[in-house]
Amino acid sequence: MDDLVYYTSSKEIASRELKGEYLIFSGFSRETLVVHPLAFRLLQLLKAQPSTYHEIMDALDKDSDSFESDDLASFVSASLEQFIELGILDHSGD
Amino acid sequence: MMRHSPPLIISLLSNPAMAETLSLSQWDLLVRQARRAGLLARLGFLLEKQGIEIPAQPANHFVSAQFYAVQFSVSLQWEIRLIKKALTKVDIKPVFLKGSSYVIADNQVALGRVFSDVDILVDRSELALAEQALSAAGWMPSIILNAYDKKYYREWMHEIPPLQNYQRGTAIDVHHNILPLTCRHCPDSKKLLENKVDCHGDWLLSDIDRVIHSAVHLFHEGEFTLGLRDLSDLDLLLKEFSAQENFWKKLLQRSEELKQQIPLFYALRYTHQILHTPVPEKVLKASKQQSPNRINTKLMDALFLRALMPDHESCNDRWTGLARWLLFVRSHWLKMPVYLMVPHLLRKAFRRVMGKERH
Amino acid sequence: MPVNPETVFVGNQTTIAIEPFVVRLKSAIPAVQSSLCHLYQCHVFLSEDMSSFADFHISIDQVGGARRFFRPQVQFKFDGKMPFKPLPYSQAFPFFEWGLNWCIANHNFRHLLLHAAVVEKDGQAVILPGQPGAGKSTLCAALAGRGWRLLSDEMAMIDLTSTELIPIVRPVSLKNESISIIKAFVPDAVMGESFHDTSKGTVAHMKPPVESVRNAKLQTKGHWVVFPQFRLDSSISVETISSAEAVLDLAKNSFNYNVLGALGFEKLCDLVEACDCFRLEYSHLDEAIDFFASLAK
Repeated sequence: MDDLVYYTSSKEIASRELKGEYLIFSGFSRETLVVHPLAFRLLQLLKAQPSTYHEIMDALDKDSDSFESDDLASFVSASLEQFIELGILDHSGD
Repeated sequence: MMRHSPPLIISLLSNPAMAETLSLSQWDLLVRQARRAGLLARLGFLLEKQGIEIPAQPANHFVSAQFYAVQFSVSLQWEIRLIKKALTKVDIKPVFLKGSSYVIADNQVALGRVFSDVDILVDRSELALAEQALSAAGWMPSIILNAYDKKYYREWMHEIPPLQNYQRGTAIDVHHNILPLTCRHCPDSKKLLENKVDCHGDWLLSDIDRVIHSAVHLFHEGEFTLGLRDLSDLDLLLKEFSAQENFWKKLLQRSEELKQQIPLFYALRYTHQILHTPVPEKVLKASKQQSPNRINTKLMDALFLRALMPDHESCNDRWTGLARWLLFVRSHWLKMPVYLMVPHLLRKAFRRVMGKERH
Repeated sequence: MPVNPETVFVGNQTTIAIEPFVVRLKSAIPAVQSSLCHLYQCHVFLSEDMSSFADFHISIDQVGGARRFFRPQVQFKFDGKMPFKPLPYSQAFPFFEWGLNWCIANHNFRHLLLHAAVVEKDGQAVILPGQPGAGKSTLCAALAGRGWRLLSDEMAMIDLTSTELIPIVRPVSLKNESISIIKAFVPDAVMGESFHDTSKGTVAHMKPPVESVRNAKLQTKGHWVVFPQFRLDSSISVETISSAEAVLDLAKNSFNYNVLGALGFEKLCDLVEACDCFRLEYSHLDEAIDFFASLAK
C-alpha cells in the first residue's frame, strides 16, 4: 500500500452506535449499512484525522484482539475499498 | 403585451422584496406558480437572501423544496464523480454542460436548481468510446429505439440517445455539439471545445459560451414547461458574469463567431423584458442589429411572452396554447430542414396515436 | 354527524383541514363528494375566508370526450398537472385517497415519512410498518376500534426536531377480506362504500374515530416498532429485533428517507433508539390485539 495516500472521511456521512451495533449512512451513495465494530472504528479514526494505511493499521492493531494480523490487513484493505466505493471515504491518490 | 400585470412569480423573481406585502392567498398562488415553473427552491433561496420571513404555511413548501435541492446537489456531485471515473478509464475528459457546470463552478445559477440529466460534451471522434465506457459502468440506453429513431439520433442529433444507469436510475446525455447537426445555423463544436476552461479539475465551456449555450438551448426548445426556469437561469448567469471586464462586447462577438446571434438576441430581449435583467440598452440594440435575418419582433413577442410564462392556468390566456404549439413546430423547423421535418413529425404523430411513443 | 355535500361544496369545490395540511378539492363527481363528506365528517371543512392558503389543490374530474360513454374514467390532477393515468370512474374516491398520499409523500421533506400505521395509548405510540401482506391496516383499524388513538394508517410522520410522531388522521383503507373482518370486529365502525376491481382488489374505508380526529394536533413519542406479519393458521409469535435491523427495515419502508439524507438517518436512529422493536406473526386478530394491550400495560 502506497504510504503517500491519505484516507479521509467524506463530509457527506453520518454514523451511529445503536445498542451495540454500528450503522453508517453515505450521503453520496445513499446507502445505510450495518458494519463490523472495527470498520466503524476505522471510520471514526479517519473522521478525527486523515491517515495513511500504515497509520490506520497501527491504530487499529490495538483494538483488534479477535483478528490475526494478516486477517486484519485484508479486513482493513477491503473496508477501505468498500468505503471508497460507497462514497464514505476519500483518498488523496489519483 | 397581453396582460396588464405579470404573474406573481415573475414579479417576485425580479423583486423579491415585494414578498413583504403579500397576503396569504397570494402566497398560495405564488407557491403553486413557482412549483409548476420549477422555481420553488430557487425562489425560497432568493427570499432567504433578502431576509424575508415567510408565513408558516407557505414556508413549509419552500423549506421542503429547498431541502430537496440541497440533497439533489449532493447526489449530483456523486454522479459527476462516477461519470468521470468511468470515462477516465478510456482517457476521456468530458466537458460538463448546463446544470452540472453550474454546480462545479458554484455559480449563483446553481441555486435551487434541480434537473433530471447530466449533460456532457465530447469530441465527435470520442463518442463511440465514451458510450462504451459508460455502458461498461452501467449506463444503458434509457428508451427503446426503433431503427428510425436510432438513425435520427446518430445522423441528425447532437447527442446520442439518452443513457440511464441501471442501478441508480440517473440519466446522462452525451453531446458532441450543442445543437443538432441538421440545424440551420449549426455552431462549430470545435470552437466550443477550443475555448473550454478548467474548473477545479473539470472541463467546462467558458462563461460566455455557457451563456450562449443556455440561450441556444432555450430558444431552440420545443417544450416550454420549464421555460421560465431556463430564463431565470439566463438572468442569473448574466447578472453574475456581466461583472467581468468587456463581458457584453465579448458576448456579442462570440455569438457571431458561433452563428448564434438570434438566440442571444432573444435571450437578452426576454430576460430584460420579463425579469428586468440589467442588460444595457446599447447591447440590446447591437444584438438586434447583428442578427443575420430580420426578426418579426411583434410576432415573436406574442409567442415567447406567452410561452415563457409558468405552465399554470393562472398564467395562461386563450392564446397560450397556440403560442406553445407554434414554437414547438418552430423548434423542429430550426433543428431540421423541411424535407426531413415533415416526415419526422408525421411519424411521431402516427406513433403517438398508436400509443407506441415512449418518453 | 353526517355532513351534507351541499353545505360544504361551493361550485364543486371544498376546503378541508386534514391536519397538518389544508386540502382544496374540486370535483363534480357525486360519489367523491358524498364519500368525502361521509368519511371526513369529523374533520373541519373551512369556509372561503378561513382558507386563504391550501397546501394541496386537487381535482378529480371525469375524463371527457368519447370516454364519457364507453368505460368512463376519472383523472386526478394536482394543481392542474396529472401525475397518474386515469382510473375507472367507479374508483374516483379511492383515487383521491391514493393521490393525496402521493402529494404528501412527494412534496414533504420537512418530516421523515415512513410507510407505517401509528396508533397510541396513554401517551405511548406503536409504529406498524407496512410491507405487503403485513396486515397493518387491518391491525390499525382493529386497534383504533379497541380504544387506541389513530394517528395514521398509512404514513408515520416524524418531526425532524423533536422526533415526535405527528398525526395525519384520515380514513383507514381496508382491502378484500379485511373489510368484513373489521365490520365484524368493530361493529360500530362507520364504513364507506366498497370499491371493486381496483389494482389492490376490493377497497373500502373506515371513518377515523371522532376522538382521533379531535386530537389530530397532539404529537406523541414512539415507544414500540412492531413489524406485523399476517400468516394464516399460525400461532402468535413475537420476536425481539435489534435496533439496527429495525433502522434498515424502516428505511426500506420510507417514502422520503432517500431524499432526507444524513438528517433522515439521524432522526430514524433517534426514533428507533427510544423504541422496543419486534416482529409479530399472527393469524387471529384478537390475539394480536391482546399482545398490544400487554405492551401498553
